[in-house]
Order: sequence, then structure tokens, then C-alpha cells
Amino acid sequence: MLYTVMPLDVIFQEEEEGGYRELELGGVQLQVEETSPGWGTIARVISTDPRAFLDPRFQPGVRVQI
Amino acid sequence: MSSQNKGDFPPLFKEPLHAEQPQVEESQKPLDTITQLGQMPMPPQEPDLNFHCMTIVGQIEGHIILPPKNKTTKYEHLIPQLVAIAQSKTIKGLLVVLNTVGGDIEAGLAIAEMIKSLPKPSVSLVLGGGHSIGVPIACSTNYSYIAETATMTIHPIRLTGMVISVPQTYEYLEKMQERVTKFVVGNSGIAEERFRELMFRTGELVRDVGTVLIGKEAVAEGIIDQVGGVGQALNKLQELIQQQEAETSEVLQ
Repeated sequence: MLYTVMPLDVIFQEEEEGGYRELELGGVQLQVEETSPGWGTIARVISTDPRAFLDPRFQPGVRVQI
Repeated sequence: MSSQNKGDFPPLFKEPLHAEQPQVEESQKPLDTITQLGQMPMPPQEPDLNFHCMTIVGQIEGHIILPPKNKTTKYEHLIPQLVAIAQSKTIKGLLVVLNTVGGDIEAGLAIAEMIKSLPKPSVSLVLGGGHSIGVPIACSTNYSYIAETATMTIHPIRLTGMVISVPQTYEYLEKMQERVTKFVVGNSGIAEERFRELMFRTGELVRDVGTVLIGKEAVAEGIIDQVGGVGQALNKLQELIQQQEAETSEVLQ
């Protein structure tokens, strides 16, 4: 059950699938957007360690092999 | 590309396309050390970092996977992270940064209960918005801050588009509401009656009943402890960490 200020029709709007994948690199969980087969760019760092966000390897937009 | 390399860390960053780029361009990229040196530098480590930061953004996703366009924070990420933080010997405290529009009630309450029962000091900071189920999460920490411009919407739980067919449905909604209200009342300075009053107020929201609290209004209502920013929140966290360390060393003596 959702308890939110967002209208439900906005939340459940139909749309085509975005090519996001989650993977772990060097102990840090990343959300990667698939750009071409086998390659993607980092979209989001899923970590509670503030240092992971300063790591140049995990900056948004960095290309990684998936 | 051999498939056995998948999962290995440094080779993953060897971007074959870069090798074909002219030298001039490469020298202009200070961070592109893979092609220049053949390796990635390790980032400078700060060994004295004694806290972790949890950002709760967008929708809080729980039992239902939301369409990918929604920006979500998933409980299957947060709960194991909270367990790891509780177990860690080096992490002494937790900063929770909230900018959420709400989301799944059970996921939100689960996260709030986890933060509340964390055996380490925690401080929350509401930036932008901490609406709906974000309210109990903001209250779950030992101390809470809200940015001057941040807002918190307090409104009743409902099921849009659903016909309440049997009285039991209403009771079920009422019970869900009760869980949220009890948590907020039990973990902040607001009285139950006042919280319900804010929740069912009319004339404040355009299409809904409820109240929007901006910055210091949330503090005046007792939901949040203080208006502040990241600096104050970090100072408070360090203060609480030192307090806890002093207490545990007293016990040991």
C-alpha cells in the first residue's frame, strides 16, 4: 500500500523499459544504464559509504563493462 | 571480450574505444589514467571517516516494483546496509538524508524501525521534502534536522480509485494509519491529537486534506528537533558518537 503525495496515475504510468541493471564492482553496488551490448554507464551509486561517492571510478557517466 | 573477466574489477574499466583516440585528446583528460598509465588509481582513503550516510530519495519502494521511470529507494538495499552498519566495528554513526515523496507503508515503517533500533547514534536531515511515509523515517533517528526550505506533508493514507465495499476495508485503512501515527507520536514531540488534526485539516492542500509544514513549522510542531543543514547534522552526529563512546568506556571501567 502506498502512502505518498504523488498521484498514483503518475507513479503507474505505462512506459517502455529503461535498460537499468544493478551490479557490484569493487565492493560497491552500482545502478548501470545499458548503453550498448556489454557496456553501460554508471547512473547511480547505491552505497552508504560517503567515500564511494568521491571515488573517481564510480562517478556517474563512467563507462563500465557489464 | 572474454566472459571470464566479468566480475573482475580493474579490467572492466578498460575501454577499448579509448585506445584509438588521438594522443592530444588524451592528455587533456586528467582522469583518464587507464590509457595513460594502464591502471586506475586508488582513491585517497580517509581512514577517520566514522559514519555512513543513507540517502532516501524519490519513492520508497516496497512490495511492489514501481515502473522504472520512478526514482526509487528500495528496502532490499537499505535493510542489509543497516544490518551491516549495525555490525561494523568502524562505523560509529549514521546520517540519514531524506528527500522523498513517500511510498510503501510497510517498507517505510521497516526502515524507520531499523533506524530506531540501530545500536549506534543516528541523525536525520530532511532536504527538499520528507512527505507521507518520510515523516516516520525522519523521526526515527536520535536527532532530526530539517532544511529551512524543506517541506513535510502530513495527510491521511488512502486508496485512490477503490470503492470501500465493506466496513472492514475502512478498518484496515484505519489500522494502517494508526501504525504510522503511533510511530511518529512515539518518536517525536508531537501529540497524537495534534498530529491527527494536521492530517485531516482542510483548505491547506489543493486536492487533499492535510498540512504542509515548511522548515521551522515542522520544528514548532515538535516533529523535527531543529532547523539546520548538513554541517549541523554532522556536528550533532559526532557529538552523539562521542557521547556513546564515553558511556561505553564508563561501563567498561
